[in-house]
Amino acid sequence: MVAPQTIKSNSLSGSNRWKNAIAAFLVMGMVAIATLLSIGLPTITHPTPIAVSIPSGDPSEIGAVDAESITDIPFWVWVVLPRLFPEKLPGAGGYTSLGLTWEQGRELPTGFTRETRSLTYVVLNDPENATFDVERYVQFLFDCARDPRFNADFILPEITYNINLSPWEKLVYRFSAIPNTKKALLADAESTGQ
Amino acid sequence: MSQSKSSDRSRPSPGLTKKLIGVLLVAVVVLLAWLISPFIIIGNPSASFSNIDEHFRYGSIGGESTDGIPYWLWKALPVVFVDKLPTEQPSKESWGTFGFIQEADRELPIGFAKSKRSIVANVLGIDVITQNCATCHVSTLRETPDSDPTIISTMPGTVVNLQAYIRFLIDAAVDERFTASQIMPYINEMGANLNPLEKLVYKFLVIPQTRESLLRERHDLAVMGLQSDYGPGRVDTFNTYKTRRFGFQAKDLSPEELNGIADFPSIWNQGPRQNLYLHWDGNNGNADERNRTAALALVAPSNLNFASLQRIREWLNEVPPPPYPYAINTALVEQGKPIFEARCAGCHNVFDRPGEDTVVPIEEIQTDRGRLDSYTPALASNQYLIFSDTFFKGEDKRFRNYRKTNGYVKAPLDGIWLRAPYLHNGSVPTMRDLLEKPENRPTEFYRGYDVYDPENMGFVSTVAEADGDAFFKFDTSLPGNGNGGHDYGTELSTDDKTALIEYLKTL
Repeated sequence: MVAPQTIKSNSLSGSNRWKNAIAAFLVMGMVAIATLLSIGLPTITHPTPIAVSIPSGDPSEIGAVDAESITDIPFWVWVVLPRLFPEKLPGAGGYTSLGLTWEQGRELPTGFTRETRSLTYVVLNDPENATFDVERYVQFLFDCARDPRFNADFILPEITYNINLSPWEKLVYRFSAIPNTKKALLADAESTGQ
Repeated sequence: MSQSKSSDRSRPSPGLTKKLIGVLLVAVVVLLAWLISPFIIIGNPSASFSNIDEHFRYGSIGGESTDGIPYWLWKALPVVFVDKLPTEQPSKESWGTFGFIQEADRELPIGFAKSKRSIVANVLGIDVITQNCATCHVSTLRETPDSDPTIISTMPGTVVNLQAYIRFLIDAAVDERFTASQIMPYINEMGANLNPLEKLVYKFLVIPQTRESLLRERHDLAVMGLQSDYGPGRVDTFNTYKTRRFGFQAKDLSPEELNGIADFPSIWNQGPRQNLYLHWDGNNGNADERNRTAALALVAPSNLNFASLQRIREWLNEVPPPPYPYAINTALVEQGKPIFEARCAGCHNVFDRPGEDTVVPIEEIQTDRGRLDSYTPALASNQYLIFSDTFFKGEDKRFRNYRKTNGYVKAPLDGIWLRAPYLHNGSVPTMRDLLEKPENRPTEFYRGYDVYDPENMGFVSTVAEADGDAFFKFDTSLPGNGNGGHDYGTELSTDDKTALIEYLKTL
């Protein structure tokens, strides 16, 4: 009578050990995922620090916009910004209201290219365009970044309205691309005194 | 001993506990299964039919996750907001008051599809109602007011008043009755038999979320308030595109671009049109992009059902225009043919001249320029980002073919007898009127009646009402409604015009 009970209790404690191990493993896994999401992802997906060059030299130039140093914008964020914040543009027409021009059939306006890193970014590599008001463009980006709605809850639904993102891409946009873009734009705004 | 016995009695035996837990578990599982079962998606979540015409009328082309209205809410809307339904045509009720066509053996009117909107990974979802191509490209035809209507797929939706439907929905959304406590009793009374979980979902998600999305539509479609009324059979494609898809603010649109109302076109016989410049102003030479542009009025770029649209497209390539169903005077046809060849074919026989840029400059055609001016380079630029990074069967679907033109296209005239009223804005009621000098064309007429006028080639447009049902009064003096231009053939004799019309019926 006693012996089997002992055996039973032994076996129970054995399975408890297993359960504890599994539980610990799960908790560690969740902690790892949480850490990855909150801290890790931004650094993983943004291996290079965002370059913001402060206008140097002549103090009278401080405050001027060095367009090429402006943060590159993740492609889908760039696509939806004028649709979500049209009131910050000088008129109807999305980016065309800033004087940007598209050649027929081209995806991006003249002077802009796509650059694929961990995500695809829209890069302004040539602001020299007769009609393009680059200062106003930068102002628009800064105004968007300052808007309290510049967050994943507001921006991501407009992105997924237009494109089927994978669950991973959604995570990247939510926890990295959108907040980091906001941060970088705000830093740009501060450094250029706007 | 007795102590141990009593303690045994006070504690249930391990077997009984297990049984109890087992029963409880089964009960919980059954309860959960019952609660969840209406949400389970079995088979294709998207309404699909093997018969292609049926699929065209009732199948889904996408939009479930964005534009769909949850089924029971959609059913309840015309009941709860019966006071907001159009009253011009008292012979009709519910969705029929907007001109939507109800087939006898069907639950939904033509142009509506019932599918599942996925809530959890295409496993769980709710029924939603979306719209498809047939919303605007099906109509009815009658020989006399006493005839039974013939329903014709792919003809212009001459009787449907899409704007009235949109206005109904967005007016309902701002009404104080658009709440769960007001709407749920109607849903229950309609026999929905929703289980408690469904009721919760309707109360806390479906009704508030639908209201919010309709309020967004209300904001995005505020541009309609700056325009002439569309009436049945017409819509402004591109201004609503600007405001709904790209966030252009209505107040920022220039007055010149605001008047882009155009007639719903026929969509039969698309095969020979593959190489033509399409849309009234010829702004796109790619039929697939043209189709997807139209679909985006009802679906989102991310949930367009490419496979469904492709099936419909392949069918539309082959569907012939319906032959003229009434008596034809063959002698007159013979007489009219050479007139057509001499006066019309040079422009309109575009199927014979593939590759031609068919745009006639506005200075020459001189029809109302509102539709032309509604399409802007700014819009084209924004459209080049539509369907970025979207592939179907390995093909990059991004829009590349839009362009700004300076006129209206020479359209092929297949099935032209059924494409009245004429000109891009439907401003000329019959072919005989179109053959009149612009100053002699009717300045007021009525749209939306489906009884045919064989003598003048068009729908009966001179009666304000029939059997108590009133029609839409079209005023050509309103912005976008101009009936001028295209004065070809206006100098022909009355006999020649009659002969030409008879010939046109055979196309």
